[in-house]
Amino acid sequence: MKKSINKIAALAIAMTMAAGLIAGCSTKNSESTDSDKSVTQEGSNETVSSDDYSQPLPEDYEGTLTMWGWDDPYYKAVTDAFMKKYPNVKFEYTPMANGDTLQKYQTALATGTELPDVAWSIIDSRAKVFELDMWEDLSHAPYNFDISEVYEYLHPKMVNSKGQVCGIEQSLCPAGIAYRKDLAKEYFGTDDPKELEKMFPDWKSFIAKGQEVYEKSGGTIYMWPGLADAQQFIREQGGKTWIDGTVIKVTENFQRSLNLTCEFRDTNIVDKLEAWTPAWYASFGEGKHIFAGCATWSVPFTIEPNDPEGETTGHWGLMNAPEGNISWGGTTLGISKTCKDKRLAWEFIRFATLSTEGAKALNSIGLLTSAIKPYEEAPELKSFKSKWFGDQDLGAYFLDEIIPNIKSRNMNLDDNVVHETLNLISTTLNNDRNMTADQAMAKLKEELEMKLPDYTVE
Amino acid sequence: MIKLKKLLFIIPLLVISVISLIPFYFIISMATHSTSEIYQGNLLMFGGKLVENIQTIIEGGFLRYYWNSFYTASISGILCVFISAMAAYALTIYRFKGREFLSNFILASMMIPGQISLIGYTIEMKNLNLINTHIPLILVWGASAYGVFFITQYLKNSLPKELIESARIDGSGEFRTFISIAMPMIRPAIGTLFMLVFLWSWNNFLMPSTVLTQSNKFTIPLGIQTLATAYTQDWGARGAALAIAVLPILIIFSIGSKYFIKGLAAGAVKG
Amino acid sequence: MKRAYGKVKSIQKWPYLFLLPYLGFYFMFFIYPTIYSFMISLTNWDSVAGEANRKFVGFANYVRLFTQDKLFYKSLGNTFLFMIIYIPILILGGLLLAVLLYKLRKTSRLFQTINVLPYITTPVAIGIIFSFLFDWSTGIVNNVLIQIGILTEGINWLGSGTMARLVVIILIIWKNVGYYLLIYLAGLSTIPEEISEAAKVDGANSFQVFWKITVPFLKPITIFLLLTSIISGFQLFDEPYLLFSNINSSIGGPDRSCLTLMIYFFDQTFKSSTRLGYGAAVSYGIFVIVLIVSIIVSKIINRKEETEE
Repeated sequence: MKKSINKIAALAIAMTMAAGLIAGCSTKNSESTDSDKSVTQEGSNETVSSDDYSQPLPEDYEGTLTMWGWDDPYYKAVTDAFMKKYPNVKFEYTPMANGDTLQKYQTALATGTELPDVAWSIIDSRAKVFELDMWEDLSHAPYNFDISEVYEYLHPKMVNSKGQVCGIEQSLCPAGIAYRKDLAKEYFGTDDPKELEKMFPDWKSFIAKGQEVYEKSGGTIYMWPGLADAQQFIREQGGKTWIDGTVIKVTENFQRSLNLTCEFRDTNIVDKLEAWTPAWYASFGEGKHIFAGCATWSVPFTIEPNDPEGETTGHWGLMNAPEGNISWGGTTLGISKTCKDKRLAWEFIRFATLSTEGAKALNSIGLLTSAIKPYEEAPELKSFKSKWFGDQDLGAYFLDEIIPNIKSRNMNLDDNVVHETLNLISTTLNNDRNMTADQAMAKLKEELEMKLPDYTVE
Repeated sequence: MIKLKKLLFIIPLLVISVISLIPFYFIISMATHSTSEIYQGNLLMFGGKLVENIQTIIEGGFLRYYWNSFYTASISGILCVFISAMAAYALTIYRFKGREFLSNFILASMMIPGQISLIGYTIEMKNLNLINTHIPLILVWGASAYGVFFITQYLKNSLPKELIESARIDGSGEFRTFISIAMPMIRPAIGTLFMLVFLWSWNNFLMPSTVLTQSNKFTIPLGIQTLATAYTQDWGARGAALAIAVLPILIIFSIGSKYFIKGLAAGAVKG
Repeated sequence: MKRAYGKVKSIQKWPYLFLLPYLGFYFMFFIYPTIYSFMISLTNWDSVAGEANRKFVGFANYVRLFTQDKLFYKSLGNTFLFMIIYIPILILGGLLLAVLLYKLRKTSRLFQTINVLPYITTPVAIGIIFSFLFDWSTGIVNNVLIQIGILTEGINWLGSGTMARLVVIILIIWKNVGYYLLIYLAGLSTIPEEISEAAKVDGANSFQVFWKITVPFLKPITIFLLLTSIISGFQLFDEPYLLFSNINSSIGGPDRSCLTLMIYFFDQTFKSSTRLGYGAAVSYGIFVIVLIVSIIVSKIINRKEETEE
């Protein structure tokens, strides 16, 4: 015992000694960061005065842009097209998990290290990421971006709480549902999207038909691969903001989706696959699940790579979801305050998101630009097809059928925490087959109160 | 009868050894399969996609992580060994004011979890402009209480003080005595400590993830974590990356297991 | 001896010179950041709000941590639960295996090497490997259990709180048992053979020899393993963190049943919220608990020793 007192005393003395050291150092530190800041500000002022951002850059312009991202095909398609126009521009790309966006940016900010010149932001954590002190406001000089250039339903997803436009959506991410034509024909007697939409006006009819399928197939064919993605789809149909001031509106926003999810589970119409696991991916090639949520990016990302047969049989179709469609996913491009060549960064973002050339590059990988004008300048951009979907014009369907049916919600700072907690609940519901919707609701509230103690949970 | 008894000993040991190795087997197996084969879940047999998978991850820049980890861990090991050996030498050979206090002090700080300083250290490194370099990963090893403790234990038991005395009488300087007499005597401890620090540095994940943001600076653990993103749906490539990240180091340590195992045990048994 | 040192005056500066580099590093890169973290823990520094809005808030973070933060207590409970289960298994398992292996001297090295491999494998990799092995539908564990007929339907290992905890415990035991084995083996080799021989001559059976001679002899090693595993138990992070790193996984796994103190610290500071100040307070909270637990454990051990003597 005597020994341990000795040890603790030694430790305490050491700490007090070092405390003096720190007091000296920390004041020095704050000075140095201040001077750093003023340097960068001067730098940016210079570029402002020397350049007109509304004009295109000369084609022999030289420069380098850094980016951290998670969507390699998108990155390749867009930068290749850009470099064709500006051959002397180079890109440095760092792969990053989209779930790590907040962590990486805030680490860089806290440690004062380099942020990417062109910064991406995924929808899940975007509200928080946009609050970081790292974004150029694109709606102001010198960029003077006019937000009405892009589809209106995206506007709330591109601004932060101060009304600054921190990024422009890479592409439209509308999601309806995809269905297996062969299975639809077998169980519903039709594979026409219009007919099916009539058959499934709401989730009630979805459940009723699902039970028929369950009986007919002896429980081998499901309506949907997993509970979590079904739950996510339904809750996003709400289109209402989750958090109002310091109140999280849980009952209003999630009761219905939890009720339906439980009903799906109890009627056995949904399989048990956990979203984004190998089995879930593989399910797209197995022909055991009739429907799945389908955003524009789902086609090249989840359906095509996992369903080798689909390329020749074209056995997929796209339709409006019962009770409306959702905006699913989405990533913005913005300019960081520390960007070394803001002129070039803006040129690139404008090219990638607003220009017709950029839209063509997107179209080549099956994505739809979020800007309105390119579709007017080149109407063929409205259309794209995938062999997996036969001759259905996916582009036109997304634009003309799916998008008008989307309710979009405003973002809140702690959406990412709510989202993460909902995942937790979905997992529990999937595993504990006896849990009722009310129990799930109670659990959700309890978890949120733990995770976000500063809010009232309603 | 004796044989039967021996068998009774061997069987549980064999079972445990097989369990120890099974995960590695499946990682190698995964590295040899294509994604769709992995989806089907039959990994008992090896497949034929090893070369493709390895090519994929080498193109993804995985060798760079290797080099980063390797040199960072090596320098960390050397730094820790030297500084710890000097400090331990001072604490065992000399009698001086404050010796007792310092020994206790170092011992006490072994009880403090390193993560407690993580936030402060990260900000300190920021102020020193060392973020996105490997220097922060190395510097901490100059302050390893465990290193000092480890070498002190060894010195106490295996360095005859008479040897130092006679060197002094022969007129050898203090530093030379340390380098030419003490260091060679404790070579096994130095080797072991180097291997341990190398390993810890190699495996470290938390600190690199707060001080490194550029992918060309990543070390192996960060590389492994990022893989999940770079190859979202290429499970074969993920397997290959895991295999490449894990196996060579295991083979090297198996070859040197004689020293390593002894060293691992020494700290505990003598302490 | 003492006289010899005193005679040569110039030697006296040498111990300090030898210690200087270590102490330099120690103060700059350990003591300083440790205290700096403490200062940060007294502020409301949030990366989102920026450094300019950092304010001194006294012990508010600590008050909140210890009086209101249920998740902190939950993660503390999880961490304790893990330790209470796996430490006894590791100590007992390591000891038994060591005794078995000690009898087979020839093959000893090979077994030791094989069994220590998991211990030296990169923890991040282990987390990912186990998430493959225990995947519900494509994982090898379920496939094997179904094929040999133990299960008819795969277990959702990583989907249920209890099962996920089990996986973490299996992982830790798998990783560490070889190390415990090794340490005990080294300890066994220090027991003079005459003692157990003599006991056998006196008519003791092997079980008695094990219980009356081997176990007491290895006691210092057991204490060492106990203390180090408590300290490392509080730092458990990499493996459970990577085990649940899938896109839709939630932090700390299903029901947050595998949320350890370190994961909570990391999540609060860098991941789902950005509060450096609060995060620093969490890390100090962890330290205080480690300190208390270590002191309690050493007290218990010391008391036992006294009564035995």
